[in-house]
Amino acid sequence: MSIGMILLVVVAVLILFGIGQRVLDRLRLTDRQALVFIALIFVGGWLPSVPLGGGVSVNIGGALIPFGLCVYLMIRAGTAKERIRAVIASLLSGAAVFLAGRWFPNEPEMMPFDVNYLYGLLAGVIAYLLGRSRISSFIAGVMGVLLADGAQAVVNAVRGLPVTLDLGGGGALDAVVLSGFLAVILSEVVGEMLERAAGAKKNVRVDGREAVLVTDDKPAGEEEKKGERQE
Amino acid sequence: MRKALWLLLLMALLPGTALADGSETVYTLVDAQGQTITSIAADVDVGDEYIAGDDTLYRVASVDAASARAVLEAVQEEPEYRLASVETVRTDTEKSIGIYVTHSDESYEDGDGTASLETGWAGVHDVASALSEQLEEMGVHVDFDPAVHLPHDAGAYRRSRVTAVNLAEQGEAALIDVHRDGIPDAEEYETEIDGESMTKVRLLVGRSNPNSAANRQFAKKLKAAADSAYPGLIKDIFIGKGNYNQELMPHSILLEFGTHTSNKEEVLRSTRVMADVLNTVLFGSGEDTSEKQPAETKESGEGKPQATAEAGDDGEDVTGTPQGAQVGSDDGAAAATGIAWMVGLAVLGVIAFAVISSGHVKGLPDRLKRFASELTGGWMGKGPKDGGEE
Repeated sequence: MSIGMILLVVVAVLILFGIGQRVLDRLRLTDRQALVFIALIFVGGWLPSVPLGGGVSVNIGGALIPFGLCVYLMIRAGTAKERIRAVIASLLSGAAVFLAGRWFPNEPEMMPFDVNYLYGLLAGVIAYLLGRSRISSFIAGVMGVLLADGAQAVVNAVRGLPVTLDLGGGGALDAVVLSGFLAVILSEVVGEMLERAAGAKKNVRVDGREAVLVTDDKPAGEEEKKGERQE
Repeated sequence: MRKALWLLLLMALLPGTALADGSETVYTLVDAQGQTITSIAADVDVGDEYIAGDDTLYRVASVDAASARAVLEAVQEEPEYRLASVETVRTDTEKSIGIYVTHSDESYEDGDGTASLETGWAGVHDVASALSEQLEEMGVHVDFDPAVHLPHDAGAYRRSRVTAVNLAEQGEAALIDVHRDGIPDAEEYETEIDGESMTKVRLLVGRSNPNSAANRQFAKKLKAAADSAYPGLIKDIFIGKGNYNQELMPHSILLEFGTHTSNKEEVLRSTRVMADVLNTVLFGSGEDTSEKQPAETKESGEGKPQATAEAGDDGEDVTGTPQGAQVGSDDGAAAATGIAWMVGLAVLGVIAFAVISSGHVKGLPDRLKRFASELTGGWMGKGPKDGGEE
């Protein structure tokens, strides 16, 4: 492979790494914790998947680490209500991803955008509408794809189709990871835009320095933001 | 709430999108005069491109979804598409190719008895397997993953992504996704090479991915090599929307071996010549890769010229001529395009996000500096603190 082609691959990986780190940084993790998690996702993705039996295997970086992060975020969730919202968002997201697979066009060129981004967008919308929270979005994005994959495996097994299931087998490039990232980005961007449009956030200057004045009692994703800045 | 759950259950139980049973929408691609150029079982969009068998580059100017017709405008007949010589991609990795099948049900009515076979091993698996065997006979190591990605729905490419990533991680020189087309007219795919009747192969490139330029370059090299040694083998190149998991590797390609109405034996026959074309373009003339030699004239076991041995259109005999520099510049240009797109999009995304999250553009450099600092966990120096949120 030429140097140019190698560079192309390296740049793609670096950009995804950077986006992933910034996304995880939004989830009550410190910058360094986010860096460690994203590194674990990448490195774990290169390791062979762990067989669970019955034709099912799980990839460390593509499924186990994101799932573990979801559990960690659930435990650290601020309120029971937030946890319940995340669970409901995950279930609805799983149903949406499963149904999207069945009902959307079966060829990529028929889709208005890359089908791999569809799942993150669905999860992001559902999680944002339910909880207006980045954490819920990430959990819904990751769990939505995992649950949909599991449901499809059950359907295939019932139909007697010889399909194996490798959860998160694509590692850092798997739809599980991409969906989680995209759901957070969607929640963040849409949330910020809506909050500013509604006047819930305003830019002010305090002692000559830039700051954001939050005027809403409970703005989008504000709960977890408190934790984000504790570094 | 209960009604919504029942509705969800009902939607899950109902059959989903159509399988590859020949019932897909088939678009007719016509030129400005209304003359039919080709047909394709895929959605066609304005901006899609099509490189015909004669190397004319067309672009889709308009689409009428109701009648499934798309009007093509001839863009040009670039000399670039008429490669004077066959080039080799010349990988430094082991002579190894990854082959997989995304649509695990695609079959051939004339041979399998049906266009869609959901048993876990369909007609298209036989084709992929035959292609693998042909390449193995030529000394190429093939990782053929027959993983099943059923059902043939919108999630098929997501499921096959796992297979493709696993193959890419093994350091393959190229990733081949084997398919068959869904157009009803088998005659469009019929061809005769070296006196043998077989089917043509259509190359499909997804333009919605950062590797698109590199994928396209790879497709053009395959076509040039095939046109040189086996005229009539490559039907055409369609560059449409979607990515087909081709962003995973610069040398990724989707091959359509015939259509569902093609004779399966003829399809299988085309795997031998296609394997030779792949071997030539990826590894040179089939010699030991340790020698890293470019294409040279060589006679195959059947006395037929291999895909590397042809004089160019300009009459120059390229036999044995090193092509490395030319290949390097082609690959470099394609890679540069991909890198420029990715970096450009990433920079735009970061700026857009910084503006959206703060509500204004003032102080953007400071926010970008802090962004870079946070990206590296503070290991690249602390960014300016503004006391606000991002």
